[in-house]
Amino acid sequence: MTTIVAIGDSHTSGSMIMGFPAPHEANIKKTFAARLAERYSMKHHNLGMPGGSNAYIYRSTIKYINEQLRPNKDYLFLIGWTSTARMELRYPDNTDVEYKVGTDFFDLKYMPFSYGTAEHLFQTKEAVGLMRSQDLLFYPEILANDWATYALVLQKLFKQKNIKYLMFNACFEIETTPDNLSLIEKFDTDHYIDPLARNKSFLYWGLDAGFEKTDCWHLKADAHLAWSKFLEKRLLQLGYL
Amino acid sequence: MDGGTHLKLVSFGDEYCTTDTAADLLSQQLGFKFVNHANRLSTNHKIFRDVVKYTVEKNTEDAILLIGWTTPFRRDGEHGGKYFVYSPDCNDYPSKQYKKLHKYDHYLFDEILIHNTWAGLVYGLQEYLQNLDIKYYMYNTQVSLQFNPYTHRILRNLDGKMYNDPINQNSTMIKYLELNGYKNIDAQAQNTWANFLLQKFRSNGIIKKQ
Repeated sequence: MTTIVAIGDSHTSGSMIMGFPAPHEANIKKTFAARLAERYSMKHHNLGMPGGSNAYIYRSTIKYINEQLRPNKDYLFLIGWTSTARMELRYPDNTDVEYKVGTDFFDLKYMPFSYGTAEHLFQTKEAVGLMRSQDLLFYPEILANDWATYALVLQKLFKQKNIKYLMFNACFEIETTPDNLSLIEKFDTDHYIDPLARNKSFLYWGLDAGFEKTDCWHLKADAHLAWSKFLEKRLLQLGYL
Repeated sequence: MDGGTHLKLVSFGDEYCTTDTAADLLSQQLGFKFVNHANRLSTNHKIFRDVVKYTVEKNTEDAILLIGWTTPFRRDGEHGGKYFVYSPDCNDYPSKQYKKLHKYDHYLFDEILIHNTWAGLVYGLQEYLQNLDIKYYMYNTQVSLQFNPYTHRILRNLDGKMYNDPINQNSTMIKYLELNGYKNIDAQAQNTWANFLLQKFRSNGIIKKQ
């Protein structure tokens, strides 16, 4: 049996599909990845994390490959890249603080940290202090360069290990910079849906198609179902289904 | 690869790799052209990006990439269009406002996260270079990778032949040289490190033994 491994941000985790903000079983069952898994009788591991950054996505992919992949089992990775204004932090081990989410295989100390997050969502004064210094922490061009590097490295890694995958953008296109353009030109765009087109990201594709969003800019169950069919077409073209 | 001026050794790393370098001496011993992409005060993310960018933009058919990973206690920064590095032991920044971040260094440099991140960069880069059939060798300049419950599986899956003893602090460049009697990383110390790397290149099949 194939396992679909969906890695990304809140769009991948299905935030607000059933009205719950965090990964929640009710949400996850309605995500595009879950709908695809259901249609094809596959297992589904959901590593989508609300606020998850591209650094989280890259690191979690590597982590899953090294910790969860079993020999002679079949996997299909769906990687939903996110916006650049995000990074990873971690609550110190010597505190009781945890970031409780329902994401599979998740370390409860990891803390997603996004530009513009409301302060009350953080659990320690240090995290709040960092949010007040956010302008000193996010560098869009460097983050766009990281994104391109992560994507290209993972493409080659999947190819090296003969692992099926498909990449897409969850909400925004990757911005080109003088340092990442040459990498983006090397992307295997059969396996990465239109990385430079905002209207081919899940969110904007869905809005253009007329699907409703929530107040916090997440799509609902009908959009997830439609996106699962959109991905399905591409996966059939790749010979993965 | 038997030597010849069309072959090149391309070096990536930090301040220990920028002047009077072991990599330059090694390239002379090999009879290779030397290309230096090391940067003073690099971060591991910058090294990761620089290596990949090099492989995309340059011909790597006759190249060996020598990658000196730096300390993970560094973060990329940018101010007014200029790149800088933020680290816990630094107070020299393009603007003094960055100094106020130091009270959060225990968050910005959580040891579990930074070593887990670093291990992921190494693993991904090794697989990437293998897929492209690019010869390389890695070492740590000053800090070893931490072996802990969060990194151990990734570290076990690294290609240890192409990475000098990543979890052993005594095998980092500066500690190795210190144990061999060098108080400073001068030209002589760099020569010793060059000889060490040459030995590794030969024993690990990166170049033919002579």
